[in-house]
Amino acid sequence: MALKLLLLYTREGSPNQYLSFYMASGLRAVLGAESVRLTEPRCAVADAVRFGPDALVCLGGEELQFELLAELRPLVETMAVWYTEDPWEEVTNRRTASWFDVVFTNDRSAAARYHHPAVHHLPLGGDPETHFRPPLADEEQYWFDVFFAGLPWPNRSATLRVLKALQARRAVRLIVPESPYAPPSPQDLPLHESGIWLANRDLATLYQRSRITIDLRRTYSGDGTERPGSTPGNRLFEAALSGAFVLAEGGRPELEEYFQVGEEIDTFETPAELEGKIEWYLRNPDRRRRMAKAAQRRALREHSYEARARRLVAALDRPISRAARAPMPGAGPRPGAGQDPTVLFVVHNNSSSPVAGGTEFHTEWLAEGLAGRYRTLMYYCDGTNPSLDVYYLHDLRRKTTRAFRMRRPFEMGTYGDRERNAVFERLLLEEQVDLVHFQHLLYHPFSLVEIAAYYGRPVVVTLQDFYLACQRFNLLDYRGHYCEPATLPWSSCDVCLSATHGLPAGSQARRRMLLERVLARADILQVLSEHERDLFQALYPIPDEKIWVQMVGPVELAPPSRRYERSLGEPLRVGVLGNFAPHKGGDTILRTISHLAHESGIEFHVLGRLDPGGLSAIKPLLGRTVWLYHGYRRADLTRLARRLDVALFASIWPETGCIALTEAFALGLIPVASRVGALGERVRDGMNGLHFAPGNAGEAADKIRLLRDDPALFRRLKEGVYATPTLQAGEVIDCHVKIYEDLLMRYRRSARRLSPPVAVKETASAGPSRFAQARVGSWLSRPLPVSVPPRPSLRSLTQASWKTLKTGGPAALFRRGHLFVRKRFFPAKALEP
Amino acid sequence: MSDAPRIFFYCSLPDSLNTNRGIRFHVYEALVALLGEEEVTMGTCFSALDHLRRDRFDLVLILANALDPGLHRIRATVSRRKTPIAVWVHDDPYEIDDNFDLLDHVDFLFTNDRTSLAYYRRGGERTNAFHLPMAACHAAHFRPVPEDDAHYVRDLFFCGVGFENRRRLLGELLETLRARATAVVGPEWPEEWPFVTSGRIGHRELIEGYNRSRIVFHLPRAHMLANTRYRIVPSTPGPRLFEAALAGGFQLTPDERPEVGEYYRVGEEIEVFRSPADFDAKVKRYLGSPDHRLRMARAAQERTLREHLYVHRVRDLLRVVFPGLGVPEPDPSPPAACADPAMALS
Repeated sequence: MALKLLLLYTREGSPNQYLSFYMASGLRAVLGAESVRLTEPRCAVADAVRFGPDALVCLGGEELQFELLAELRPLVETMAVWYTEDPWEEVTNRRTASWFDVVFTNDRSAAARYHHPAVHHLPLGGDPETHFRPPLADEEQYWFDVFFAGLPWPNRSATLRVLKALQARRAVRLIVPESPYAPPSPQDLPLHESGIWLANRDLATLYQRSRITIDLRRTYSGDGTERPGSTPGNRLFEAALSGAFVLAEGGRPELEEYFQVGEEIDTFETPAELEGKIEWYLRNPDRRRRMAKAAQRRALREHSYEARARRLVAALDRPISRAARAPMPGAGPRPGAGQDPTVLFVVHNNSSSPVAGGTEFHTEWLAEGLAGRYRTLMYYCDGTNPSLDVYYLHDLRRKTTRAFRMRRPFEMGTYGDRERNAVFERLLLEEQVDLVHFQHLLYHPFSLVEIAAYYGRPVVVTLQDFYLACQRFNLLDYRGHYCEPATLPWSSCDVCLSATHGLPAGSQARRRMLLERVLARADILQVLSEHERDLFQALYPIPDEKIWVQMVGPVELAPPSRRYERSLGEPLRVGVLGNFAPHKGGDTILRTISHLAHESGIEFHVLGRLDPGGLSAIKPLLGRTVWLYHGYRRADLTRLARRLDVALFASIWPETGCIALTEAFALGLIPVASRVGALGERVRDGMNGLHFAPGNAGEAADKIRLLRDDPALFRRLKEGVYATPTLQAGEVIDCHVKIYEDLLMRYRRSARRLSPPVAVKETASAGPSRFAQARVGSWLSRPLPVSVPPRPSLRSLTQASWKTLKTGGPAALFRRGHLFVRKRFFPAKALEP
Repeated sequence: MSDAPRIFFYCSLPDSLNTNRGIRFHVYEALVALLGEEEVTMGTCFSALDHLRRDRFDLVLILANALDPGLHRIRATVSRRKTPIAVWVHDDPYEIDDNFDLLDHVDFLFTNDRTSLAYYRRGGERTNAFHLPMAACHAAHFRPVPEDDAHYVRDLFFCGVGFENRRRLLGELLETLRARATAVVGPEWPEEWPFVTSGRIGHRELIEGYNRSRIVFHLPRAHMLANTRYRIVPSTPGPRLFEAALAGGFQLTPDERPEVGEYYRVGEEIEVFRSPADFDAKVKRYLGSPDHRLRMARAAQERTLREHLYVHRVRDLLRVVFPGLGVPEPDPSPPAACADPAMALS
């Protein structure tokens, strides 16, 4: 069976990545198209898992990412590298060579200096598809007499001076571009010679169109040391393939191994000899063209990447000792070796934040609930910081937190953010994360999902709201109406986003396109209701098997008493559990309360937070038919709800799940809910609650009156509520464990592991690795072991209040202080009406 | 054409974001010329989904200069009917970073740039990417080559944005440009150059400029918007090369994009220069030999009519997509009319 190779160009963004295309093409010609896969660092692990290669061949060798190699090592039998920048990068390369079982180098002189048991010399070559040009028919078709293209390495100065001088009498074309890697050219070349970069195809054409092409050696290294290589570079082979007659700088005995000097190419040793030979060959075109054709034939036969691929395959397709493998720094023990898998939760805030909501509480609860079985980590942003530039990684098992300060503030809705991506990559590798569960992507770039998938981690994304459908994540349009996006034309989105965010036309379409890519990377998409599932499936091509309908919410509430019944004459107590935000139907609730203000036998208990505007509307009713609680602690909910009969839910947006509704069912409260989203789905009208049209306060009031006046209906609905299955904490945990285990099993199965543990002794990670330092930079703070308070402390609240004072003014500070004192010191009083 | 395929054609971006919107009409006319009006429906990115839900087509052809944001919905709609999707990217590699993902969504990808093709194909990993250069439209760009030199109003002409590489290049040629009757038209050029007219001109003025200038520059562009993944240096000339040739212009271009020689024979249909001195010499030579220049301009125009019209490109595209179908050779006679929009310069 043919060897299966995964080819990885090691330096992302390198303009030399075309080498990997040439080599992939050559390898395919040798091994067959199906046996070769080209990859890039950001998707190498995922490709290795899917493709199951026998060997990994790293090409180039620049910017090798050690942690990435450590990830890849268990997935392949053989690790090979082809260094293509020797001898100039030789010093660095010699340090990394021990990571590989087989080493190839482009330079023979460098090969001798590698202390490695399996070193092969493999020169660069030419790609016939790119470089081959048919020989020109006659002398008139040439554009230039002499041509040289290359960087201005210092050792080339003397020759460049000769060529410049020659321009006075001959058509000499020089393309010597300025490069950050080479010192400035001492020749002071004009812009048409120094300011041009050529496409490889065009370079081949210019070789073809030149009577004489000059090939110069390079001795200059990036560290300033002179290192003359012995093997010619790729340009010699490419020029020969293009049909050029090559006059190469001599002093390289190895040239003779590739081309016959005097028959296929010629060489020069001194500037005077160069000038003399140029003139001689320009006067003898037949000889010159004969030699060029011979060199082209030789290059096609022996110096194509297909020829190089044959040698590479021959070296890999034999028993390979892995005894020389060195351990990789920064690579800790893999899970499965006596260690629990690590699950990383990504969420926008943590629950102790003053702006935390249900998602943050749920995530923390889940991470704690799973901590006995997995090592659980939470990665979140400090959402109270307006620039969103501080992120934390909290380890729930070790009770440590690492802080990461970004240099740039976060721009909401950003698809990719280099800085945050780099930090996330670092976390995945350093923390040995086995599975990533994205609970919410607010304050994070969407690309994190792709990064997790690229690194071969199973990915679960919970769609807590519609943030991944629209940046107006409650789907309320610029008029405050639910937009029903499944059938909405792009133009409507353009109008809305222009009005609300000032975005240009096409923004929504582009965002969806990118998010489709993101969602496609997830293994499991958790939605909270069938309504949400249908909506996302209408917007994105999500297969059924990827969808997991699972309501969130820890429901650790005392079960309701089934015997409780409202006595006749007792008032109907209507609770408003959630916060009083506009999208939660705050206006509808206020109007319902006002409308029923003078009705007897109906009381409203507003448990959630209420903004001052809402307060003024119902102020006259306070203490008579309306009681306010200004928020509540979850632990107090059972006690609070003991004397409630009904819960009013008036959201005007299609709630995805509604944790408060789960709580209402658990507490035995009859929901009166707007007929939209999960509320409409979970509350079955006349069975376990009553519906009203979203925003229709009159209908809501009528339904409440009905419950007050019809004891039979009340009883029936109460039974319906009791019969509604409520989600218990244990079930939620078990469901997650099942999903995670399935995914971990699936990923482990597809990852082919080496049978013996070979001679690899892994070392534990200690602090940021060289990789992380190199890629992320020193600006990242070191891990900060600090304990995380389970609840907001007085100090944090004081700090938050000070921040609020600065941003929200004294009134906000007073309100916060008042709430704090009330909740902390007079909880009982505050909770009882 | 009997049993001609039904094509739905649209441009991926709204006109408000598309600086080359005229190409859409040229491609549409080429499709109509080859297949007949009843077989071709042109929509917009806004109406595409409605069209595709309503009607059945044999091919969805998208002209794109960047990732098409609505593509996923289009694909979901047509994939049930197994209708292939072809996309012709016309701005590679300037905004190519996102375009690599297009290959996952379409059945055929055509790129305007030959070098970029290698990056789509990734050493033979992908076989559904093809090279399809831009072209000219007879009805929009054709102007007869004049019989004598008196027709011309200036010596040298260039119209386009003054990208940095173009400014540097013309900066080296200033001496010659100043000595001749030169016009450089477009935004972002140094205003102190006496021959510069800032701003944009309309399509008709552009074609007039090509037709009534003795020498037309074709200057490559090196300005990238989103080309960081591989930092690709383009090789295929843009549409202006073909348009100027069809308008009867004699073109002079630097030698840094020699792929131009695959479209026009250098020295017979077009001329290249390698240095300021060479440029000066060639300007002198061609201004001093009007017959030679007019002969070359005529040859380039004939070559364009023969090989570089949008009908030729669309024919090639259809032959790739429908290999078993006999796509007819384009009719050499020009179409009667052209819905010729005002074209922005790029």
